[in-house]
Amino acid sequence: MITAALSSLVLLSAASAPIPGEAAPVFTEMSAAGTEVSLSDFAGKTVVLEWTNHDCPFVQKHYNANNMQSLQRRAAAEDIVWISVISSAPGKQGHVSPTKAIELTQSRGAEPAYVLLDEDGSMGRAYGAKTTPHMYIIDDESVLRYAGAIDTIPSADPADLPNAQNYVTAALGAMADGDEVVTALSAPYGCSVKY
Amino acid sequence: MLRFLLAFMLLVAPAAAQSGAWVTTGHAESRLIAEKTAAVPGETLWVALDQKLEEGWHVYWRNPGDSGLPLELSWTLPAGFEAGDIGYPLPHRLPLGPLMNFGHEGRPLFLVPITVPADAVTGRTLRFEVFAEWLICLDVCIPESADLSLAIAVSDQAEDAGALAAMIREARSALPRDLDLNARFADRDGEIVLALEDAPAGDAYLFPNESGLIEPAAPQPSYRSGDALVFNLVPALNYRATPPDIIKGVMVLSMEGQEVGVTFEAQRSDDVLALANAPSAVTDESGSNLLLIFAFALLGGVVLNAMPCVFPIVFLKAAGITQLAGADRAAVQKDAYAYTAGVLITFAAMATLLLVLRGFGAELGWGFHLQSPIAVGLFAVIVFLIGLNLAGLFEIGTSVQGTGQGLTQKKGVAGSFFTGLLAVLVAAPCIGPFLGLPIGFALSAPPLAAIAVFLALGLGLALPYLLLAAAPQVAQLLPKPGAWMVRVKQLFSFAMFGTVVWLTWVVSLQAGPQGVLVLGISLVAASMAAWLYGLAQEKGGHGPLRATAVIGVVAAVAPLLTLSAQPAAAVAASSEKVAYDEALLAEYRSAGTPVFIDFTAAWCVTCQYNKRVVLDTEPIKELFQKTGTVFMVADLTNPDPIITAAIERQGRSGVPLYLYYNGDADPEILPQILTTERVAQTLEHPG
Repeated sequence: MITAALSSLVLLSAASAPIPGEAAPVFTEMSAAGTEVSLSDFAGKTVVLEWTNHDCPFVQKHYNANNMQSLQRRAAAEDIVWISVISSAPGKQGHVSPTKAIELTQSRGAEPAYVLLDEDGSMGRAYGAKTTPHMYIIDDESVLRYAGAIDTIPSADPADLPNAQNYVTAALGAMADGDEVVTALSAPYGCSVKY
Repeated sequence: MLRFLLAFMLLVAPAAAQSGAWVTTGHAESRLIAEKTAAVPGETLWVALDQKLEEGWHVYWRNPGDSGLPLELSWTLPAGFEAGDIGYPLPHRLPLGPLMNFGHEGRPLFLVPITVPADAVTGRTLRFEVFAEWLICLDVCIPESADLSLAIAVSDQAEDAGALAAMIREARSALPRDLDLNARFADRDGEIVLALEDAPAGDAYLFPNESGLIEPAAPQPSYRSGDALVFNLVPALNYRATPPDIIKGVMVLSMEGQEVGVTFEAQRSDDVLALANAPSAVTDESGSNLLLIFAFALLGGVVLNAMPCVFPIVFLKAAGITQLAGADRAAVQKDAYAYTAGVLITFAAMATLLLVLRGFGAELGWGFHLQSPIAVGLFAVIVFLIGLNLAGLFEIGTSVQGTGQGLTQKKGVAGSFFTGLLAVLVAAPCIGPFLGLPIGFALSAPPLAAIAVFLALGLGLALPYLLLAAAPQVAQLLPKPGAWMVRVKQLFSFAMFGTVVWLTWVVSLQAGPQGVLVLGISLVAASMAAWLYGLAQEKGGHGPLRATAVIGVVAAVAPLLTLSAQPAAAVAASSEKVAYDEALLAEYRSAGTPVFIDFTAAWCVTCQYNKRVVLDTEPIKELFQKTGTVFMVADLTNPDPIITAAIERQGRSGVPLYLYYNGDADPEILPQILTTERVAQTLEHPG
């Protein structure tokens, strides 16, 4: 009974996950560096959320081929705030300590502005994050503009990268030009988030 | 010895060509298999990816749910050969925390039809090659892939490839079927209301073909509204962003480990909202379908009076009515009301008990109590005592001397109530004409609606006698009271003894010879107790004697409690009948062999009537032989969850039920009262 009630609560939040065009859910989480990070800190800036899990082969596809890092660097150059989010619960696969999270960032040459440790999964559930990777773009008015996959070819094979259209690049480009994002919602692919 | 082995290996070597080698990846073993020994030009050859997954690991359905990836097959086929779409096994829900995946565990078989070109050159052996990629997950996910191949001969002649053919055929028969269901959906208060008309009964779950339409982890509350099955679904992101006009998918119905898939293609249509109610509100909405069900229940109840199984009660009731000869209007009315009350209260009690037991997960249908030899034995004792009472061994009431007008009435009222109670208990196993639909509905409807349906049925059963109350002058048509009343009662006692014979036979099938012995002892002991009771009445209410009699009856039925159901006696004793077997049925259906299924039970008198008068007669037996129809017997004398589930799949809940299967088409449902002509018509002119 309690489980049923709990899971329906969880589902309610999943059902209330925003679709592009709606306000992005606010959040406040601890970063790996030990600071509190809130969405409201970035008013007036574009924010990219990247759900990640270093053991997931779909995440590895984008990191081993240096694809994710180059997206992060380009974002930093354009004053876009890139936030990597780890929602694996303690004891679940992909859960890491702050030290380990920083080490992973360094060893992979990643350059996110922040790595957030969403141990209780509240942020992941608020956004309806289902897979790693699962990408979100929030504009300078805190409106969600993109939610979904990182690119058009759902696979864990790095050989597919050159042929894939990157949804995040396309959406950020359209937003920079003041255009509508053509594909604002897509089916995410990857490993499940280990809540 | 070595020579023998070599020869043996040479013999089996060609058979191995319908199966490629097993390829082991991290967490799965995979191979390609074919249904036939050869590819025949111009025909379709079914092949399959056969996977053995590591314990606990799963792969994904076409819509993987919240995460995951479906199987991808890249074929390299000889020129002109073409591979069709993947036929996935029925999906299962695989919950992972708050997320839900749709996929397969164990040993899934992914079917692919290969079209063989008409101009393929025979006499050669060709190679089918496929690069298969899949994601396999426990909680961690590993992408795996394998190059698989299969050497297959091209020939004008192809035979079934033994066990492989059976595997592929079984997987094909388990593919979702297109029953051409009328499916519609609309939005209401942020939910999707989706209705499927004429959906089969069972625990249903909808798997949409596309991801992003229906939230995979959300529960899918469903309920019946008229003949539609209505779901309340939570829309997923893609649905909310771009509301679709069509939702395609597979409905999986599960019952006791058996699963059936049905495809649906729901169109957006706001008129579906008329069907949609909160589950508990179904009874408030008196839709025409619901009215029709009540009408059927009422009509079915009236007709039940003429069914063979209620005959003993009709005699008992008739005996009661004759005693009303010369009675005044008020007495006749009281009698009718008491009988109706007995019927209705018993129906409500039985229905409540049944619903509660089903709520606990018991696979029970209407008439379930007669599956217990203890209940049947108790019935036999009660009916026997009634027979003895009618025959005059003892009176029901206080004592014969004290019979005044008031007491007669009181006795009459209690007696009529009791007759009503007995009518329901005995009539329960009877599913007469018109009743299949209402009872099938009742068992899947919310409790209040279900009990209302049963009450309508009871009202129908009591209606003929209730009319007596409305027109009490009918009772005046009876001859003047006199000795004939006693004679008629005595005559009707033989109907009760006949019923005892039938119930004894039922016990013999349920509990074997030992059961008959125990019942016989109970009957003798009960009759002795009744005799003592009668003696006490003659002595003007001798206290100790009466007490002994009552204790005697209790002692008489006590041994019955030791009865337990034995494994069913060979139901299909005669060589031309086979016992119900769903695997066998699937085999016959795919082979195109017509099958007639007799859902029956020893305690179902209507079933026995049909058996004697129609099914077991020479002309019908000859017809079965002539048309090559298989006679399958599904015996519900003792509880059987698989047979109960099969009956419920037809939207019914009890026996008799007669189904005629011919190939892949839906079965034809024959009426509950069979005639030779009707059965002959079905057997000779299928379809």
